[in-house]
Amino acid sequence: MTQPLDGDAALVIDDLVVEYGAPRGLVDLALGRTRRRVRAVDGVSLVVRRNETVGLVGESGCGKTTLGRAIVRIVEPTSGAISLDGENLLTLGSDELRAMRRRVQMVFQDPYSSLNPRMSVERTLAEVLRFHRIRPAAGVGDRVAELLSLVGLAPELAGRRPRALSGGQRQRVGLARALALEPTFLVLDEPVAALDVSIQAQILNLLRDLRDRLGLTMLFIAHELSVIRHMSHRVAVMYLGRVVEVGTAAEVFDHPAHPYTQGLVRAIPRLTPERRHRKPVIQGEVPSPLNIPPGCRFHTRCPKAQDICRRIAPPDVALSPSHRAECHFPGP
Amino acid sequence: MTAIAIRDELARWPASLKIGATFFLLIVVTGLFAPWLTPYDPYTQDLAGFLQPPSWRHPFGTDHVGRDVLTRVLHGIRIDLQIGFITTYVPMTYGLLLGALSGYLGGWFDTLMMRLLDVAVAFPFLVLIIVIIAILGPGVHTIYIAVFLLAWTMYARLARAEMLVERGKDYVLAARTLGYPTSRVVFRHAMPNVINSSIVFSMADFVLNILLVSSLSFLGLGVPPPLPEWGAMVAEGRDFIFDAWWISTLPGLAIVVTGASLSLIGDGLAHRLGQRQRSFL
Amino acid sequence: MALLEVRGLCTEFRTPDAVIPANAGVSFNLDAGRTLGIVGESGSGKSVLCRALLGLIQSPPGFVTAGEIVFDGRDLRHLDETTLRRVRGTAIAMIFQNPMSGLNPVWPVGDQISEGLRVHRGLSPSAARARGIAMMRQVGIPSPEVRYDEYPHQWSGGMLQRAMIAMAMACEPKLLLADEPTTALDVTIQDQILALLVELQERTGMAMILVSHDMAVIAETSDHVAVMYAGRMVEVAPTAAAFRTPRHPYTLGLLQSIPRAAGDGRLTPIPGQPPNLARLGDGCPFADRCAVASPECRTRPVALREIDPGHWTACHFPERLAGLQA
Repeated sequence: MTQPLDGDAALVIDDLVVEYGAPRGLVDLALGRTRRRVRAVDGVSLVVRRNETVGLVGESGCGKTTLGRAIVRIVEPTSGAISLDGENLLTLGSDELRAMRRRVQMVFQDPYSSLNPRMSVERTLAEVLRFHRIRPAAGVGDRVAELLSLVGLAPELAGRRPRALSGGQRQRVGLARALALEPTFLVLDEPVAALDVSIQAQILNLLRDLRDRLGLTMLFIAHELSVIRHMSHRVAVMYLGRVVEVGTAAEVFDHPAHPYTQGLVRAIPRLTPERRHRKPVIQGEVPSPLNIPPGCRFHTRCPKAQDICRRIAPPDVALSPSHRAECHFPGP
Repeated sequence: MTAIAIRDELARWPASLKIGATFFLLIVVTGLFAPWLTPYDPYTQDLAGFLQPPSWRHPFGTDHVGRDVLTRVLHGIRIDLQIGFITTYVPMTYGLLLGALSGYLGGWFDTLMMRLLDVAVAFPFLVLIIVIIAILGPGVHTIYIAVFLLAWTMYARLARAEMLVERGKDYVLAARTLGYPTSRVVFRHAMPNVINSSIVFSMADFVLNILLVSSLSFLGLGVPPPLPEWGAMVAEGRDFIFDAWWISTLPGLAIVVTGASLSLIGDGLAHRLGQRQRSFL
Repeated sequence: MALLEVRGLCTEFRTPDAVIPANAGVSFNLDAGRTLGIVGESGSGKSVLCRALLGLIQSPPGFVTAGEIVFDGRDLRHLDETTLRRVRGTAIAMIFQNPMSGLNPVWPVGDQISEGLRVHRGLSPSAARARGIAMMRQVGIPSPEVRYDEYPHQWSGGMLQRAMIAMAMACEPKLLLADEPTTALDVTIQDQILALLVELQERTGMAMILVSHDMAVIAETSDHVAVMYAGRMVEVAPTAAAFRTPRHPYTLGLLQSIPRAAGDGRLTPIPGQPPNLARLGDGCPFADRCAVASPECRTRPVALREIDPGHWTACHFPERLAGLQA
């Protein structure tokens, strides 16, 4: 895979924090309690360079979806900055925000809920084009046909409602809808997690083709490591709201430095038909984000944990110009 | 819609919907043609022919001032359906809007709405209506005002609950990432997926509203005589119930048949729209 | 003799519009102490098969129309409901994909684990509790004495799946059916649960049917693999043979669809979509998506046949696959 590792930064995330307030009831109000806050994203910095795909991997609740949603501004960050092509997305007014939407688009996980069940494929796409005046009214029909062929859908599917489409077809419609705005940056949130393997492979191929043809920059969010590796130039691993390791795909998967990444990589079932006789590397479960452990947040499950890990947050260690890990004892 | 599309749609209707819709349509048509279906006038009294039992000349008999009960029941369709329709669908419209907005926006607007709903629900509906009527004086318009003040709360509740589910769905998030303004996201995208349960409920509500107006008229707080409103007619016949059962019973039957047909439509719609079966009645 | 012998099992779902043959003539054997991995995509009929084996098909709309399910010498299809229930509780147990919905939310988890012991073994409440706590310890639930009295909502998905396993293992079944037991779990938790299942099986000597859409999960846990497509088994083989030399184009297609660790460049997906089960022709159901199909594949019925010892395929031309394999 060609690796556009240098080149200018397209998206820069700087010390981003996203908190959710647990709802306050009347009793809490009466007692003057403040909101309990969950830090879903806890100080994430990440750079995505032009034409690069960065894979974001982690288990459920690690904050990867929230991070993706913060980029397209459907969740509001608490602090930090996200800038695209040098422009801070978090300080935009509503007009600029609308213009920004054209450049950053999102593809959602669940092809069954990401399309409006009441709208045909054609209406879904035409609405985007008309609303944003991407094409003069007369050209909308042609552009819809173009978009359908771009994502490999037969033109006769245009009149169908989502219900009459298969999962793979729906995901293609979701992709066409995102591409209708001709974005340069695409956030893909688990785009193939809901699909069967054979269909998943079709969509992954399509995504790689489109990326090359349209010169897209991507943040590819997934929990499945093989999919991430297949799609990404660089990979960021998230755990409990922080990026704990980032590097090229080869660095992260072949020479993981953070014990969590090492455990993740070893936990993937292998295709080699040999009965497993290995012990699970990572014991226990992810702690609640309401109660993040002090020191290194991974120490409760870490096989290497020492006393220092329980007390002091680990430094961000550079292992190579492109490879960093947040750990007191990085390395094999 | 082509003829084929209509035929396909009809084929998917459950039997209850077909039966209910047929009956309801019959009732509406009968109401429309009421003046031409019987030779009598609903108001003209015939003191010589009062309290006549059902016969060929008067299939539903005559009341205590000699008016033909059938004629009055048929004219009553116009009054009762009109009142039922207005008291159901006017509050439904703004109830849906407010509820959907409340569920989607959350925050202080939602808090305010929820408190309003709590207050409205905390009082017994009928008592509150009677209080309002007592203040404003009886009459159809007062009933409208009273119902408009209260009846939207149920729709707002339903729409809010459904919206809380819909607003987290990916298609709504997608509409937001596409840069659509809030009004478009709520009303064009989410709304059509929110209204099903309200439509189903409105059928039950329609029946309840007809019964409400009838009850109010029965109590003398609703439609003033001599208008041929079914509840008022039941009330008028109350004094003669042992001598002339038909004066009260047959208008009462009209209420039952209308109510039953609407309930069947509601059940059928629930089925057709894929809603969980709900029985409100 | 095999512990479980399934012969020609057919299950169909009848809707007003169509009859959908969800299982069409499924046959396989499972020896005691062995694991059969059933792999297939959604709609392939693998979950229906599991439920049919246990007599748990909701009827209507589902009907088991033909076949034998011989377990331990008895045809389960001809048992009366009471006897079948006993078999289900004691000799065959099942765990499901979603552990949250498998447990009753208003009952303490521990009581649900030991319920089977009270019902089927007639244990006293205190004996059942002691045994339940022992079971919880066996499946790796920490401080079981305390957690015995907690409710499902207080537990994580991984812990609930352990509880489901403890519940299934409580009566020491001879056969455990696991329907996508790790699909809803994160990869580190999946790792823990798979290790637990393998360990329990080796210790107790039970047989296991493990259903999954994930070829790798099957590869690591099963002695034999059955690949399902369109309601039938299209390939049944020892695991090593199925993964190294697949003899059905669908199995090969599945394996080639998976992104490999060192994978570079394009994947080789299976083209098209799975067929509509209500409108299957006489021929091979995979013919439309198959790279090596001949015209006759679309018309000539195909059945499982043994082409190597223990290796069965439902393909007319398995020899054509040699050219496709890398």
